[in-house]
Amino acid sequence: MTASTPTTQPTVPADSSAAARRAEVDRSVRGLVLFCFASAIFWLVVGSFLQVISGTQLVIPSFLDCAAFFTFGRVQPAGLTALVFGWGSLAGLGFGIWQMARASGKVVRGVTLPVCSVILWNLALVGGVLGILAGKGSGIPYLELPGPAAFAILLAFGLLVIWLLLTLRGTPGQPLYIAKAFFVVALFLFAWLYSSANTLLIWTVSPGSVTGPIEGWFENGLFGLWLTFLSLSALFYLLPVAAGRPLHSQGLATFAFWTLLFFGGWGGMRYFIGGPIPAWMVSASVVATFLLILPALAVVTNLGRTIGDAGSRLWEAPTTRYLIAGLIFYFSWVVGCAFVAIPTVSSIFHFTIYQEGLTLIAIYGFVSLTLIGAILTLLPRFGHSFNPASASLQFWLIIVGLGLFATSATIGGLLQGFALYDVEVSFLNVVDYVFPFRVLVFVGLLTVFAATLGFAALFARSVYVPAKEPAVPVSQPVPQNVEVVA
Amino acid sequence: MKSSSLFLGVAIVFGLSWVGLVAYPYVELGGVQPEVSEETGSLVPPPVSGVAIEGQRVYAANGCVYCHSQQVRPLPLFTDIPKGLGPRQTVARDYLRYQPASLGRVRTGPDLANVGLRRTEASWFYQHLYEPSVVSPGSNMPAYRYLFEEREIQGQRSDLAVNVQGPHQPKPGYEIVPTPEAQALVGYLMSLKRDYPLPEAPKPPEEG
Repeated sequence: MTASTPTTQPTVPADSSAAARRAEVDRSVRGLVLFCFASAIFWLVVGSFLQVISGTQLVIPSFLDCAAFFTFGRVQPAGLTALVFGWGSLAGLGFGIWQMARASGKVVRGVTLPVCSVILWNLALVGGVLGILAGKGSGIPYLELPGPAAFAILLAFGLLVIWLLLTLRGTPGQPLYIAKAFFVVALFLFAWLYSSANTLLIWTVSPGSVTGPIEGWFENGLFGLWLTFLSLSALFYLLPVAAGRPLHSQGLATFAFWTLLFFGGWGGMRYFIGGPIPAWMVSASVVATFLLILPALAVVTNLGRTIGDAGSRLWEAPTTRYLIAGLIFYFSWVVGCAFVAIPTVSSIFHFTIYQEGLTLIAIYGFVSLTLIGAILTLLPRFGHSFNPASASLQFWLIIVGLGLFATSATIGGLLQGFALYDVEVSFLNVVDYVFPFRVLVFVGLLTVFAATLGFAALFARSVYVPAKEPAVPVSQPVPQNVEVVA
Repeated sequence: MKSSSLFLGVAIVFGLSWVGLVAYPYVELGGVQPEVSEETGSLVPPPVSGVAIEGQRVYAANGCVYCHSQQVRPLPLFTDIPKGLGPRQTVARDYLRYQPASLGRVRTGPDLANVGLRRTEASWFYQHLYEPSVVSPGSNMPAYRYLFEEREIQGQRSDLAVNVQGPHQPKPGYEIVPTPEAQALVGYLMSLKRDYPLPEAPKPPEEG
């Protein structure tokens, strides 16, 4: 393995000219980054709304059953697609662009190409999500987008990456710190994952015997690598900055990076334990899913040590609280995946509400808390005002939702799992057992949806409504210390 | 570290998973062929009709996979076989005829890998799709009335007309008939029978 480190930390002396330079860099990418964020938040609200509809249908099956457009099997994938390809991806890209601009120290001139890319991405997703609702979906989880829409997204992505590399590439010899390594490698992995999976399953026709391995590899990579790398990039950038000290250990960070990359690619067959794919693939995935706890431990230890006694201060701040919670949910999600990869546990928990809960924890717990935290952290630099009370309220609403998801997943999953396993229990009884937990998930989805609306309002107000007097000085509060790691 | 060597390292490390989980199955599992069974002398898996292939697209487009799995897992760890989901475990070759396979992640609804063995009457499927809660009280499946049309009875009642029970009755003089999509979907569902013998998936011995 190429083992040398992608992580060294420059320490640039802070002085007023450097601060002025940073402010200039920020101004030059402000419009582009805010456009990414605004698009992402639009998809967060749309995706969460669709999740609320499909969640309602699981409780009241006759809800909106009048039209094909709103049938559960279309609304559900449309919502997940919006959340993953709209919200998570665009928010992570927006943060990454800002981070690259900061790292390069270059003032960006001309953002027409990237803005057009994001417009194309949004249009492709609008068409794609409507296509899914109109019955043009592929029926393969997370590869639902119709072929042309998926192609347009890849095209937009390619243009954006080319622009990024041409404009914001660091000067030669400039060290690559860990947060940037996560982001840049994420770009590379997304291109590989999405083009590969679409080529084999969507744009061309493959026999059904290969669908399982490829869709498993893709879904696992989409969450475990693409969204994970984007989110970890934000955590590795912002938490040391917020704590005001350098990363605890470069070695641990490098270890986490390479082990995540290695095991992260192999986890996908855990969806098919006992399923119709070769047994060695399943075994490899079970082991890999388990070993993913190692990088997760390394990440948590590293960032935990970095924060150290600044922890309580960071928890008090309404922005960094999101980041800390995101880190905790990252670890919970990884452990949750490893738990259900144990074959004996899988024989009970697989196919149950546990799996649905795990997906919600990954999306709303890890990815959303982290990226909302990242957006809120940048908001005082880019927006006119910042409302800490609202940020705090949305945080607790999401936590309540996540608590309901976790409860339903574990207790509901256990009940449903044993009922599915028990030869004496009929299927309709299983439906009865799990019903109360579906109600809880529905309430959780409603709570989270309310939080996304609140967050969207907070963002819109901050960016588009000029404040009478700036609530927070533009250089405050967090990015003052950015030079410590960047 | 230079970024070129970083990306070479990334490509090698991540590429391993691509080789193992994408390229290898694509060549190996994609190259699996139907064969003549020594036991029965006929081709396994048996060919499926064009209607069933069309029905697979209806199944995919309407997201049936978000509630229904199609996999039977083996004894002794899993109880799928004693629960009657199928006579034997399912293997890759079972999915050869369908593009793509809908393996599924959840069992919000029952597994359908062998639904064509459990239910053999098209009329049951039509009734169930039209109003699941009437045919299976307590079911949480949504109704798929949009896959049916109400039309005036011309002369004789259509052979396909659904024997509607429950609240959504047709107007007097009208009947409910399945659209071509519904017919394809039911054709597909009734084709789901994985009971033919495969050398790589022997039937477990019957319990006495």
